[in-house]
Amino acid sequence: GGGSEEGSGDGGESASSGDENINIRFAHEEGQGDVQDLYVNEFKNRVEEQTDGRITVDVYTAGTLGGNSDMFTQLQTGAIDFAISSPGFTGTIIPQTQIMAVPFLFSDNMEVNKKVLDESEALYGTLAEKYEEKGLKPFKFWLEGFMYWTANKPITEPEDMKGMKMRGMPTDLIMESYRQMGADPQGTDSGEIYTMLQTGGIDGQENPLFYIYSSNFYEVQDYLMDSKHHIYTTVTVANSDWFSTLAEEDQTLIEDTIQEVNDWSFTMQQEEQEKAMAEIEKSDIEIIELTTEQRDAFKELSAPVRDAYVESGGEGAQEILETIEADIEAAEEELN
Amino acid sequence: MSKKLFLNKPGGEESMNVFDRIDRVWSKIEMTVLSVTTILMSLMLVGNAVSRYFFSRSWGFSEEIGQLAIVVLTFMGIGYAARKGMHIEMSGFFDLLPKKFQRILRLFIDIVSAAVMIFVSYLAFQYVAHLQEIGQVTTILRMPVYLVMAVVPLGFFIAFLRYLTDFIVNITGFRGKTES
Amino acid sequence: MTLWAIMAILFIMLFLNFPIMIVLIATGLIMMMTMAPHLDYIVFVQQMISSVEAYVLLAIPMFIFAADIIVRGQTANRLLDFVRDIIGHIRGGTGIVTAATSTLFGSVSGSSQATIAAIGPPMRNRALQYGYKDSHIMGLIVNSAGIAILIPPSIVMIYYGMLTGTSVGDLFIAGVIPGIFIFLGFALYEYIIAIRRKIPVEPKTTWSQRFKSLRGAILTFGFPIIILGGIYSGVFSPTEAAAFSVLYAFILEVIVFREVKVRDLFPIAASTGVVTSIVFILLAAGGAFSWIISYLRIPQALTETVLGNDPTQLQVLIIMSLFFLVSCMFVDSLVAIAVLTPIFFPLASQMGIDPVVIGILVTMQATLGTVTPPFGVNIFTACAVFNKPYMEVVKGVFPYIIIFMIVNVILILYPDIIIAYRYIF
Ligand code: NA
Ligand code: NA
Repeated sequence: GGGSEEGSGDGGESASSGDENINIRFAHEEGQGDVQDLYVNEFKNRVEEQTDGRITVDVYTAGTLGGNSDMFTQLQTGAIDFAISSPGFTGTIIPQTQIMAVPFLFSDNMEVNKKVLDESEALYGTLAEKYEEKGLKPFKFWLEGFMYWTANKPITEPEDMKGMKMRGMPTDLIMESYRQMGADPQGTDSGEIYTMLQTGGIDGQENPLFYIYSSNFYEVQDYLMDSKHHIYTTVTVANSDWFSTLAEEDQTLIEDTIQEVNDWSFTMQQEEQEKAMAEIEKSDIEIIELTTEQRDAFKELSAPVRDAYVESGGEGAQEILETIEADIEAAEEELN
Repeated sequence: MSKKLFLNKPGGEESMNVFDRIDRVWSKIEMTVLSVTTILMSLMLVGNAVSRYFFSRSWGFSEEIGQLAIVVLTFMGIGYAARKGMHIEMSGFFDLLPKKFQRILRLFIDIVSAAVMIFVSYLAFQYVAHLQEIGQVTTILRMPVYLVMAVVPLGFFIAFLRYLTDFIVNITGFRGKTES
Repeated sequence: MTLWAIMAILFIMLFLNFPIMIVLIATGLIMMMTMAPHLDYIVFVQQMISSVEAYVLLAIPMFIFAADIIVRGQTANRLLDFVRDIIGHIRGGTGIVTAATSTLFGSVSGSSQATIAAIGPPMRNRALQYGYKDSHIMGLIVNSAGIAILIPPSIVMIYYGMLTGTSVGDLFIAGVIPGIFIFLGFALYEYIIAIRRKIPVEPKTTWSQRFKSLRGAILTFGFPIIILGGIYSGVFSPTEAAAFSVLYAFILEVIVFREVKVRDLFPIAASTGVVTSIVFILLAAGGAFSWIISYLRIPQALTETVLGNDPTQLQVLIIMSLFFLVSCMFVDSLVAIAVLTPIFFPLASQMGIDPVVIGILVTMQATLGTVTPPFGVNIFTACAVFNKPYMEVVKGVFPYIIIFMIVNVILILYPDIIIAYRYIF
């Protein structure tokens, strides 16, 4: 038994030609069939097909190798080679990544967000360096859709948010942003969200649509707010030592494939949102789309979080924030 | 159970007294750590729940302290439980063996356990060094993670000392018995 | 080959009476060194730590602490006196009440281990006074606490629902019927055993006696109110309810009954800490052990070998149940589900098996896995909480496991029973 003893391509001999058999261990944070899983499997299929199986990819879904921060360490120590690692979970190690926790930073035009995530110097210059310092090579940032609010009452103006027990990812910037919006933020463990929503222990939560659907939160909530207050961003990373031992052709092949999958993922995530929305619409949850004025009211309230980011984001945070803000503005001008 | 019998072995009075004294003081320290951690954890969780429902304000840090406390309890308790022979084992087959074999086997178990514990302690030490190197902090309090995780190698190291002590005590006791 | 040799070492070490913690750590590390030598071994330590860090686990030491306090005080006795006066004259009553209480408590706390910690000690004390055999009553507690996972709320079902996109609401409803079946099986067994072993009954009490013990016990009803009421009304999460039961135990025993002094709390807390450590170091070692198994993709390799091509629906259900059962014996059920669900779910659902059926069968195996020797977290917890040797706890679990198994086999053979609720509601 156990036909899995061959090590991955970390033999150490720096092969210069791309003819070595390579097994890539690729982990992500989501369940089977979720957006990240589709992304990684697309990468697997393309790479395996292009190399006729010379390069193989083992996909590890959420939980099989531990939680998010576990995955990060395993990537650093080379236990896994590749991962989808969301900045939301890495703020404790790379504080600069908390930029992705600032609400209302991104545009309500998804094309703008796509362009910025694909190109911004803030991400591929300063922020990428911070990843490199921790032994990781970030390839591409990409997105998994707008974040939505769910609750048992409509949330359209700051008054509605007042005193609400709102669940967000338990990081200090996200907690702070809900405090600024007047809510009583909760860092409820993700395994407890469903029960707490059902029993009313928390009043609402935020997540991308496909996750609200796959985790069944819509079953226990009355209202879904299309608030566009945030997008869920993530990044494809590799262990940089491992990556540098690969033959140059293989490095290029992998980088090109990631770029292809990244472009593909933009349409894919849109389709996943649409599928999720179609299913959610079949339930009796009421869907409310926030107007620009309504969004702006929340945006104004949460503005101080940007200062909080500069303060706790470590060296280079200010630069990252300013660059990305400028890039978003430029992209909006170009595309709107 | 058989462990307790061995500890009452005769001989080596002088050295045992020093041994005993260190042992007693150390057990006290362990008990204090465990007890304070448990109480702190209760205060945090109760405090958070009270604050949440009566004052509509959550203590973000209470969950975090609770989770760190559980790490402290888990690893700081190993040594004490080893000393008291409280770790769970499947004793069925062992109990059927003749006393003499039980003693030899007990020696073997103690020395292997000691070896495993010192090795894991070393790995845990490396892990803590890694945490220090990457400078990871806790989510809410932004406290260096390695400071808390230092209890992990420490806990395993104490367990190593416990098993080693048991081994030494038992092997001298065993020799005394066979010689007489 | 290597894998089988390591498994052999594991069982030999267990037999030779090594602490289970040492066995899991040693074999896990050997597996890592021989089968994945390129790994940085600190991952092993990291996995041990993160296996105990889960927030939901915090409820366990809290319930242990609350139980430790009330066992030294009067709460437990007052409550049990009341129960005795009401049903003590019924044959098998104590056993049935133990099963019912464990099931109920387990169903809300969502954690079998917390259930054993919280109500195990008082239940066991009283049953011993009534002439029950210790291993019998421990076996009963270990198993009825296991029902916790089947009856909502259930973390296992929520997790499965998340991984597969199955409605958690449907899973919750579907779990109730098998849960009740098993409880009824236990109750029937208790009744029969009480008659066969001639376990004495208490004389029937007068209504004035009952009223008196009700008055004595009235404050202790705060516990079920806090826990059941608190969780179901959404005032508390299970973890918070556990913390509140510590507060309530403190108020009752230290301030109202004054049986426990403030300074007594320190040794009580220390003992809670040790018991927690004994249980949690096994969770930690088991977590690291299962990490290396899933890293090496051993389940995937085994399934391919075992299932072959073109299996029937029944074969898939049987093999799937076996895999989940064996895995849940060794590792935490959530880890087993994370590893195995992606392997079996697509296969089973493509064959037209209802996702709810798969989910309930998976949950059944998770439940069974916690109560079955050689590895079972509930057994370990009982050893630690009751301070009893492993063999004595294990001796009593078999009759209940057989009842579990009967229900399990019926559900595998007639999976339509699981979705029968759709015709009822
Ligand atoms: Na439950
Ligand atoms: Na088991």
